[in-house]
Amino acid sequence: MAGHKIKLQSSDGDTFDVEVEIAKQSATIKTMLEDLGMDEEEDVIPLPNVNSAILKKVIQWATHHKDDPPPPEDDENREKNTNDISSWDQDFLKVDQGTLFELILAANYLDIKGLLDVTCKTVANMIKGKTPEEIRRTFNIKNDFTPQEEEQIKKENEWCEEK
Amino acid sequence: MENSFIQLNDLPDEILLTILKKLPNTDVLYSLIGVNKRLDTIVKDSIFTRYLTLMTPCNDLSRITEPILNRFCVEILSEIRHKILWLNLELSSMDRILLSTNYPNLLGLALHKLIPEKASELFTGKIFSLILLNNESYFIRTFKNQLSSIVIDIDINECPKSTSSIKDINIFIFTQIFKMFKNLQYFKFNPFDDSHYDRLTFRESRPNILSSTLLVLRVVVDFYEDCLYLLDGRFNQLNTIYVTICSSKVPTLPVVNNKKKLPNLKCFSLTHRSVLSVYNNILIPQLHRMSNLEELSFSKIISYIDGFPQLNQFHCHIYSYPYSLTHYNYITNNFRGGLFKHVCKISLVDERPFEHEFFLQIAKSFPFVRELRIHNREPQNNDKQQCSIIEYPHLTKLVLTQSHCHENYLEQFLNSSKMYLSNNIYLIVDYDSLQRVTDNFTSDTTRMNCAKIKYLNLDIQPELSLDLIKDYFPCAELC
Repeated sequence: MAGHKIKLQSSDGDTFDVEVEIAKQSATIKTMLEDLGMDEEEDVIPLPNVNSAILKKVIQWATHHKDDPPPPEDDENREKNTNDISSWDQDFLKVDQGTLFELILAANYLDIKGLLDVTCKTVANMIKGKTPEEIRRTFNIKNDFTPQEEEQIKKENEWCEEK
Repeated sequence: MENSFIQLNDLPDEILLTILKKLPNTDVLYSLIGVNKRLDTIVKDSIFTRYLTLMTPCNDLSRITEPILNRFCVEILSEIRHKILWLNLELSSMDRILLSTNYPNLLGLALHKLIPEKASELFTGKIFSLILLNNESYFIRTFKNQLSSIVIDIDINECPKSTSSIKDINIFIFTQIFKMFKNLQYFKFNPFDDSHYDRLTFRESRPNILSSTLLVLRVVVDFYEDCLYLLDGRFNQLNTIYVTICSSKVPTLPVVNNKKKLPNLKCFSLTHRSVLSVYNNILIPQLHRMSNLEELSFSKIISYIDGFPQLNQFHCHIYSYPYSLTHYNYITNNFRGGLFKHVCKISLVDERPFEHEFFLQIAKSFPFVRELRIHNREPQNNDKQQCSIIEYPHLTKLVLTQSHCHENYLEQFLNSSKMYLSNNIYLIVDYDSLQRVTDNFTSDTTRMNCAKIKYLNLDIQPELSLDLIKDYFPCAELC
């Protein structure tokens, strides 16, 4: 039914009124609605893994993409392309790294394929072309290889080359 | 919004895998091997290491650069050598990669963009002459008993003027592969086939090729007789054949033994680049030989005619569908639609204007197009404001020169309310048109797309507007 709304409750207790058709972009919510027969406007769907700020962003994304066709099925053989992010999504995802990773976790939990796809592509683009040292700097990752371990890898490589 | 403190390394393995699967395996390995122990373990999984493509994607401007290739040859390949099952390589770097380490579990090797004479040398041991033993090159000696899958792809774009008969070279390579690789199960051969004189055919010389291991064969040949030759029982275990036939000439029977049953053949896929004229007399009897066939595929033939009154010319399009070629030229407003997933180069040509809806149809029909050229001097009629934004997500080269193309089409592609361009575009355009369409490099409607242009090729070297251009095309390199 067009315009029919449900309430989504974030982990920190905030509730958001969302049109059912928009909320159903989340396969998790869609299943909940169907399995539990929750179709009353008073019913509240708790989302304990998503905080208020992220849920607000997710709803904003789902509202913008409500008329999108269903995303294509995953195909391992399809050529990989991370340059096909729409300009709206690019602007939407101009956020700090922490928010981007929270959005990925939320998209995964809520099972919103389109949002998971575009957020993962954004991170993939941040990785692409960088050296390991640049990756460590960009993502604040500590190199936990000991000098001895690095030396060992180098020696093994040299052994292979000589062989 | 408050900043979150979650970092990449905090994400669960499942999510990291989802992210990394968006990238080609070579990008994953180059950037993440050696970052830390956890990422090192994740990216050395067979998901990312069993199948590697170390070559330039079709017409992609983002070439594998020397530092990336060097890191692979010096560090990465030797670390993952046990896990590599398949390598896609190209001529320019394949010797360096194959000699950088050993590949004990390599089963499949695809050699792309080969030049015919170089390919010929490869299989006679003149390449990889670094180590020659018993007249065998390192390449042959190492891999002859190891490889079960081989792809040979000879690129017409890479092909210089040859001093030898390319037809002979094609036959030689095809023969040598079977002679040398005794465990071959999968063989794909895309020979040089630009002209009738160069195509692979066994009509004049029938080499004595036999294989009792070959299971799958994909090949492009000239005549239907060549297909009959391949199906005369010489590959007695063959269960799948994909054959493309270029010429429509009807064979004269009897040409080869074409009566023997083919009980192992389960899949027969036939594509004709011209008219299928052998259906009743030749094709049906062949199908009767394939008593256990489970999958049969004939490409259908589509034809239509385009008229060009100003040029007093007619162009006749005949092609098989699904379309397997990588080019589709002279597309007009008469285009019949369909899905052309293999096409990466197109040209749009007409004496009638191309409207916005036409470009939308082209984007849908050619989802992987990388290079697009327009030849149309007629201005667009339909200038309605409300229209959907079109995306060509894989486009990397756009040729819109004034001598061939009305500047409406430049505006069509640069106006961000009509077209969404990806990054890395190589734009070839006339300076005057560009200046007008961008309102002397000030228009906001074209600014966003122009900011994504990576290479800009103008017909003249601008002097007065150079600063304006650099400001308007901040990412572009003038070439």
